[in-house]
Amino acid sequence: MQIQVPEISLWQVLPELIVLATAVGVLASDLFVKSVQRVNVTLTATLGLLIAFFTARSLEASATPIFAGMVVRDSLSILLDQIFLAGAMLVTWIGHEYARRNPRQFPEFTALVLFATIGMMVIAMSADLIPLFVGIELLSLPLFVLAGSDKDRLASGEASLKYFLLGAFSTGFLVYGIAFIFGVTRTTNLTVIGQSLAAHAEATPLLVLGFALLLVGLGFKISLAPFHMWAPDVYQGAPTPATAWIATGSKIAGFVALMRVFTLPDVSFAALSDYWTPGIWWLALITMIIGNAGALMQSDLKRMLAYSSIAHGGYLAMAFTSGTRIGAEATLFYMAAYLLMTVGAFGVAIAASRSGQECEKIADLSGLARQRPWLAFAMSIFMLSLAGMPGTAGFVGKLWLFGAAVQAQYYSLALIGVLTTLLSFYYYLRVIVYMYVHEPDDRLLFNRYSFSNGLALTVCAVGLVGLGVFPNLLWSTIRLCTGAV
Amino acid sequence: MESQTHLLTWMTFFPLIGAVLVLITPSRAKTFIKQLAFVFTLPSLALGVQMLRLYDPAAGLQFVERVSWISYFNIEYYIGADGLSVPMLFLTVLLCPICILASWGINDRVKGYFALFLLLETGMLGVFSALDFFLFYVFWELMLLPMYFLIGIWGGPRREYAAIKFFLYTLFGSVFLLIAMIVIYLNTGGSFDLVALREQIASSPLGSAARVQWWLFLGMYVAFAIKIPAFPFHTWLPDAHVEAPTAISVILAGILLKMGTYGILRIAYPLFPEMAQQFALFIAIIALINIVYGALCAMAQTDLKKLVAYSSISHMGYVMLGMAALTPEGMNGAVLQMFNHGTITAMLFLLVGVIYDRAHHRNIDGFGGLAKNLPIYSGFTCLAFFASLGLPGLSGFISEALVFLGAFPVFMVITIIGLSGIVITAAYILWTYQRVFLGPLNEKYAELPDCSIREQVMLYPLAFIVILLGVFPHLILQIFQPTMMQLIEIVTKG
Repeated sequence: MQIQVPEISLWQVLPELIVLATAVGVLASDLFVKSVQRVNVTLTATLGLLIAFFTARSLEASATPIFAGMVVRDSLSILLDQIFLAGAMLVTWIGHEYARRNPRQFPEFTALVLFATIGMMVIAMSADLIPLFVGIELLSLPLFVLAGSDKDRLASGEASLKYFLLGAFSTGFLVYGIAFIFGVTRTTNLTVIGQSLAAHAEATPLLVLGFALLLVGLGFKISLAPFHMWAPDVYQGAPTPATAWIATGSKIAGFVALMRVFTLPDVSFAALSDYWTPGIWWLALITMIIGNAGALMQSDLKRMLAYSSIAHGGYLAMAFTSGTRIGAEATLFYMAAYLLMTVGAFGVAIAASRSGQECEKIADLSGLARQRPWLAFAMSIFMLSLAGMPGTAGFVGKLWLFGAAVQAQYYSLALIGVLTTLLSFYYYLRVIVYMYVHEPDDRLLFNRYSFSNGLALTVCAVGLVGLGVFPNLLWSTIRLCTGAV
Repeated sequence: MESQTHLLTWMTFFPLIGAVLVLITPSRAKTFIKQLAFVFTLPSLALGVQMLRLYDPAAGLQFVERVSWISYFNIEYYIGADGLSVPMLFLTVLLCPICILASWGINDRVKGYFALFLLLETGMLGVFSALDFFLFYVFWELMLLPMYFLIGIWGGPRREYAAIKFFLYTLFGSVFLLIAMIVIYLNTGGSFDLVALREQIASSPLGSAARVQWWLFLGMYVAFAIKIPAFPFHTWLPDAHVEAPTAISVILAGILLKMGTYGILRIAYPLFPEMAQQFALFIAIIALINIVYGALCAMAQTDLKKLVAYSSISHMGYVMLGMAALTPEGMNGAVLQMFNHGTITAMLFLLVGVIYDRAHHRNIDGFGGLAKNLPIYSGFTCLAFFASLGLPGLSGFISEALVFLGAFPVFMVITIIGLSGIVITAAYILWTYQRVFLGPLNEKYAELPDCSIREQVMLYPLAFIVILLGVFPHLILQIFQPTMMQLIEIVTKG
């Protein structure tokens, strides 16, 4: 029997390899260097991510799958790589600040963030259900550890366990779904699945079951209601920089997986979309309502951001349901915006600690504007962008998310989306009111925040306003991708 | 007509430059910040005067600037001014420096206050000059934010409640505007061009879908009615006014309320002319409620500022009545009333602020005989009060008379009932004047100083305009008359 060796084109996955090498290097540094300087770890990670970022930029996009049809280096995967790498860089920077106060988890923290990033990048380039699954595992395992990395806090351990159990559970759904799909189509290759579906327009119950299970599994990852239960507890309990990466990277990767599975290149999913569209429609609706209603009642900053992140998952799902090109573009744009504003918001939560006391309640931000005007100003931008105020990227993104829903004639969905957005202004503005209007109860002063954190926040804030005023900067790149999707 | 001068852009964004400069000034230099803010409202005022000089009423849209902004969605930076926007723009640039003077007493977080104020000015000018629907919406929302903080941080005791109420109310309305904008955009093949949209809608599937049009018009009406504020969406106004600092009340009543009626005339009417006719009676009835109910509420107030706030509701009713009539007199009266109410009510709020600064309360029954010791103050108040009740020879009279003249042939019964509003207005204003200024002097206030030079500087220009337009109303009428005639033609033909 002749064994065929698939063509190995390592150049095409160079960004992933660079990140891998950086991660291993960071992890190993602890073994060989007696006392690792935090600065050096962060600088190494930044350098590695930067090189990977520019390598990804310089790659030639091609729609032909490589590695025996396992992965594809299309313009979508290249764009997403850049988004993930930029996100990882920001998280590393805000994590640097956090590690100053909790030095025990360093440099494992940075290494784990990088490992998770590789998982995300693998998901982004999957052309087959197997690498997709591998990517999701590669992403999840470091995040489980990250969630529990604050060993002294009970809440952190609880968060980790909860996240792990539900994550494992959702993986079960995912694998089960893949198995059913494989059973019906006898392949895991997404292109071939698409072709065979197009050939037999009939969707068998087994196939529908397979896709439904897949949807549930990914629904856990992107915390769509009713699969969102874990999110508030995990977000609250996990160390804040880990929360930031769970809330952004993991969620975006989940949507990317959905995108890869449910919108395939040159295959019409018309036969199936009748089955999965109503499903996502309802998930989007419930998620928007539960996310916003939940956020309304929180007094804990991270829990509020958790519910807000659930709500934003709902908005993304809404545009995703539309299945239109504008919907896909809006989803991609909003992913980038969401990354910036959420990492920024968590970054402020880290920076706004007061002598030995982490910022937990929204009320802990009282008086921030007087002592740290730039922090308060940046946080205002993040909150306003999350709410969707014109002039920020959040508005442009949201406008086209709603536009996509209206175009697909999902009027009720768009209306619920707009009304819940209205509701969200209340709890986002409350944060700003605390920072600018209220005075702190005690006389504790806010700590100075480090350069890296300030840099991350500045990048996020400038990026949000920049993309809000000139969305063309990113949209032109996105256009290239959806031409292929 | 393309202008090479970028007059409107400079006018709109000069205050923003000022805001940035204020932000980078150290917060200890309080007086310098105030001076800086004042100085940066002046170029816009100068450009506003220049705009009045250059504007040619016969030539339609002018000072047009058009640059592609977000090309993928056909969004443009498209601004210009016609007869409708010129008076509103001028009103804005006129009131802003005056309001900065009125804010001289602000001593807490001076930097934030003046930076937000200048940002607010840019937002307002943007709303009045935008000709791209998206741009309009951006400015419309952007302006909310400084307003929210200006009320919420520098306001009275219940400021947070008032600010969030104002914010959520307006935002609730904007949601419908947003949906209407998206639907129109998707149905016209991707257009935000407010000038061209009318024809694009007529030739699109929307043009024949009367039901959808009805809903879209209703959505826009709600968005703008909240801002006017039209009954039953008016309840945010008294709260916001009572809590807001003086200068912000002036902006709120003088300019923000006009945005509601401006939006209807600029967007709702021309885009859906048939609906404008269908809704005319409805708007007239709401206008009547505003006029009579607002005046009756004003009469019942004991707080001087609340009284002025309710009188604003009543006076905006005249604007709506004239607008609903769709006759030349009615429409011109409506726009004239928008401008006049802007100047008169600004005076009223400034005057309330002056007395509040001295007596630290606004209770109408708590004064008495003030005319004896405060001749200048009483004189200004007398003028503003009489302008407000529509005394012939002052500007308020002309616009109210025009509105009733225009509305009478169309809505006879409504106009006749509406005329009672004038009587009620006269009653509460005279009664208030009597209680505050006449009668025996309240000994507590025997030592109050009269208006300072700064206060007189803010009041004289407004008083001058009130008298000038009362005698020569055509000075401003001629600016917007051709535009209004054109609008009437569009609506009645449609």
